[in-house]
Amino acid sequence: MEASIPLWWYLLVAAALFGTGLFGALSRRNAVGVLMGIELMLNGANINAVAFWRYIAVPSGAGLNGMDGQVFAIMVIALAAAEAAVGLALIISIYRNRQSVLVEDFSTMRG
Amino acid sequence: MLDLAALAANAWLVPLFTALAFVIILVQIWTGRGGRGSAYTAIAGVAASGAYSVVLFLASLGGSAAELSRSPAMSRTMDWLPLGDGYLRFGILVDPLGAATAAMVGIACLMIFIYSSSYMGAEFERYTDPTSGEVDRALGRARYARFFAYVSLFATGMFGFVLASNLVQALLFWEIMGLCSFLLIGFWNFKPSAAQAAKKAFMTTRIGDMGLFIGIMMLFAFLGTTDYASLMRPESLARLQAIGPIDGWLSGMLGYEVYIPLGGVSVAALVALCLFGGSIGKSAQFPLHVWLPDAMEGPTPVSAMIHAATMVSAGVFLIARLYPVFASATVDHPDQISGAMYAVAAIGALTALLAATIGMAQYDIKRVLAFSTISQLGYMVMALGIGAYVAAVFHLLTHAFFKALLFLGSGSVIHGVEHGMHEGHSHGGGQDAGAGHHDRQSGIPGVAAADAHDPQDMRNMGGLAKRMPLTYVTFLAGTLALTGVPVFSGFWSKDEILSDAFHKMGDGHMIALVVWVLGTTAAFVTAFYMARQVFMVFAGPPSTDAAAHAPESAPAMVYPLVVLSVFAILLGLIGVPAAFPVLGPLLGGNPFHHYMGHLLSGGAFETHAFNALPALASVGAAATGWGLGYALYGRRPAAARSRDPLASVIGAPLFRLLNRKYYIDEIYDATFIRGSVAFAKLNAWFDRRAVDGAVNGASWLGSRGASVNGWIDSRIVDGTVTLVAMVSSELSRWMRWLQTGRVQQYLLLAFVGVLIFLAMNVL
Amino acid sequence: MMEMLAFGLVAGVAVGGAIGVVAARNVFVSALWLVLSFIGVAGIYAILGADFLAATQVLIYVGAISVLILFAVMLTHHVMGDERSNNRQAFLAFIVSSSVVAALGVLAYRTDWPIRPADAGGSVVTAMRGDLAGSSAASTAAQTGASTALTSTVDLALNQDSNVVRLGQALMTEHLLSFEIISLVLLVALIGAIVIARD
Repeated sequence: MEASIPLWWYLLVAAALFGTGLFGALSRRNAVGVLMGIELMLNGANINAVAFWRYIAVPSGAGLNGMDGQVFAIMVIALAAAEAAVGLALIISIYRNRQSVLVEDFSTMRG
Repeated sequence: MLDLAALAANAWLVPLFTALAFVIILVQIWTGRGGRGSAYTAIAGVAASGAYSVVLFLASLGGSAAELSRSPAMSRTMDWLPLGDGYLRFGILVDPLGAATAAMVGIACLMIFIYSSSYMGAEFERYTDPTSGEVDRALGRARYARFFAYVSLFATGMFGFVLASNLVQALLFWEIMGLCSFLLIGFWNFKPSAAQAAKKAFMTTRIGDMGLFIGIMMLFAFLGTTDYASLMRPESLARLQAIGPIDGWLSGMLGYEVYIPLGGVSVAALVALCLFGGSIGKSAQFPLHVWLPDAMEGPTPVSAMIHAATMVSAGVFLIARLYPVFASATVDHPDQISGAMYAVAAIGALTALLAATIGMAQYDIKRVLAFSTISQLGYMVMALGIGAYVAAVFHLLTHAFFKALLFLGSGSVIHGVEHGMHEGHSHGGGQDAGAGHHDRQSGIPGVAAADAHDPQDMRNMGGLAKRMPLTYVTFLAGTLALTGVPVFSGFWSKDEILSDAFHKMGDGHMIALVVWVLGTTAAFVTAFYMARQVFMVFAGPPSTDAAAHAPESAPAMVYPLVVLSVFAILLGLIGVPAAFPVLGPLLGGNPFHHYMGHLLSGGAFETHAFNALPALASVGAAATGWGLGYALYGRRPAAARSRDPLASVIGAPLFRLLNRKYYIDEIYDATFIRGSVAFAKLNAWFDRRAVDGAVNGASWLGSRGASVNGWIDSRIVDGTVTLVAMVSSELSRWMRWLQTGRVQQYLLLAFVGVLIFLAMNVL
Repeated sequence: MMEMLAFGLVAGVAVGGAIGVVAARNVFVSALWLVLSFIGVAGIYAILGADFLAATQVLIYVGAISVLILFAVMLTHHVMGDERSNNRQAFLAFIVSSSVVAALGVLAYRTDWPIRPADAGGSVVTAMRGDLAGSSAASTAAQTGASTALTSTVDLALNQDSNVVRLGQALMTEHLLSFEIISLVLLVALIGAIVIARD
């Protein structure tokens, strides 16, 4: 990989996506915006998984065929889809009941 | 025809049958067809599983004993989950321990299922429609079906646990059982006490399960496997032992000397104790025994199956299964009783006596049996603790049958008294019946009076021997077995534990002395409280109208009792000591010992000469207990007593102490529960005062910080004292700011924590 | 060099889109930026040689999740007027998240990753290298980009060990349990979403 892109570039891009998503998740008032932030974070994590799969030596054990990184990424995508579906359903349901999508209005768990 | 290898390889069918029944019943419930059919489905499922496991057991008994001794574990596994370098394997392991226990579970569960199909019939009429006030039969049918779905799932869990080849797999089934136990204790969840008891059982066992989980993870960390077969290999055990004491291991890992309290305990012992934690929770050993008596809130068949015969003995089974790990948990003397074993024996012996004494002063027919169960489980645990492996497993099997019998018998009694109450009302009419229904004072301050409408209170019974003859005879058989009257099964198994303890004592083990003394004392107490129960329930004239009108239960309830009582009487004969006069040689020189002994170090188990002293001592203890019980309870009818005769003998305060179970529940309530509630209240107080703090948020903190700086600048002379005060007040503001109900703030704080970890790496 | 340019392009699209997501005041605009960012991430996968994953990314994220988000935005849209789009802790959140990025970046740069040697013969992923339009094999000076692409295409056609095949094998063998569980989770989530959104 010497002549090609160093691994840490990918990791940096992943970190940037993760951090941006984190900022979104922490600061958006709209619940849908928070969800988008979380999707960005998941994408950042995925880039890491695939980059490591591409660059890092895998243990060649019996029966293992070294596709772990991609498999993880696929699992994450599937989970993200599930999470988006349930999250958005929740948001719509809450919106119907309380006429609001602002996260600060969802504070019934306050002690 | 009975090819053991093929049978063992297909033993996964055993849990599958009941699992199938579970699924079918679920479908029946969903399609609105739940009802009698569900009971038949469940019975068919468990009959298939039970038949298979009995055949498996017989096959392993027969001509193939040599086969089993050559390869003690017949197993079949499949790769399940990639883990590190290898796979987590899911599989079936058939060895004498598993096969015998599975057969016991199959027979006991089948009997209990048949019994339940009749006992739970009351469920049909139990529910009324809140609007019309009429009996809601549809709901009743659905709940009846749900009961059988739960018990089928439970049977799946138990079979799976017993036949599992892997600790993680066993944990999975262990938790299925825990779930079913929770669901079934709280089956009548409209009763607050039942819901409470279910919660208590679940949370108490969870404490133990935590230990079990940690133990499994440690085993995996040290040995890289959780397969029983690989764990039990001498190399694995040697590797575990070679790690040495905890402090040495920690020092080696951290690179500098570490001194911790109890650091001399070997890592192997630590692992064993963690695993034992699971057993303490599941088998209701002191100090986590408190859930089992409350679990009697569940329907009686559940108490018989889960909380007497099968699930609670899973904890004992776990120790038996991992016995080599426990036995190796010592540093210098591998063949001595190890440190972990000492703890196991001590806890078991303490529980055996403690629970038995509590049982003396209970009035609820099922609670007496519950404490008896705890006490008998203590026997098994202490037997394992002194290395009496075969005796413990033997007692596990015999106890399952006679305790299931006793519980089902008590259910039959409760059923009868309940019916008697209805009968009494309809026959006697209001005025007459009222006379017999006066609540009688207990005569002892601090002990609850008898509630005349409680069908489980033994003070409301009496004279049932004439009303329910079959129940009486079978119950008596179970009682004689439990109290260790010779020839009955409990005598052989209990006596084997005590005589093993006696022999170990001769080898100079102090703990064996403790076990023997406490065990023999507990045998005496057991005989006493069981005599008390039998006399209070069955002897004399009836204490109430209800008892006088109690009918014998339906055949579907009585016949399982008869079958179980056959086992309770005869099962002990498979384990008669070889050296026992006359009977020993006649019955083949202790076949059970030969069968089970293969598990231990290639069949090399010790057989010692028969010694009459421990046997005579335990028979003497039982006879004394029965005699005392008769003297106090048998001679005068219960109705004629103003207060419990035992209270007159041992004094009211002591009786109250026993009746209130040594106040252990109250102590837990005052410490753990009140403690956490108080902590929660403290937090809530912070929260309530935090409303404005939350609103102001970040800008507020910023300005606060600036003013703090200014304050320090101006008053820097004031020194550290005020600074400390200020820091703590700022901290408390932060604390108040924490619980706002806003997820984003929680997440922010979480990431501040992440940042701290990251900073530790970066800087 | 081409590769670096390509990387710069897709990384810029991904990160720029992400910044757009959090910077836009309107949620609808945010969602559109999100689509762009997802496409950028798909490009990164493609450069990394995970072609199937890149396609999945476009299909699932760009095709499904983004549309789902747009639907949700439109179903709940009118409540968001000209109010602030960020809450009060935005400043703190910015500090924390940028510190996280900085710390992760420093760690990524400083750590001595055990990189797989470039031309380890028999290495498990050798077969997949070819499908990269000249990322690794292009380092061989004797080959031109075009011929590399051609050989790798031929390789792929002949070689059963392609990316997708291997991924399928991995999912069906060593990761079978996780695969099944994920399927179950998806099913449950689907039912749950319907139940929650319906009442």
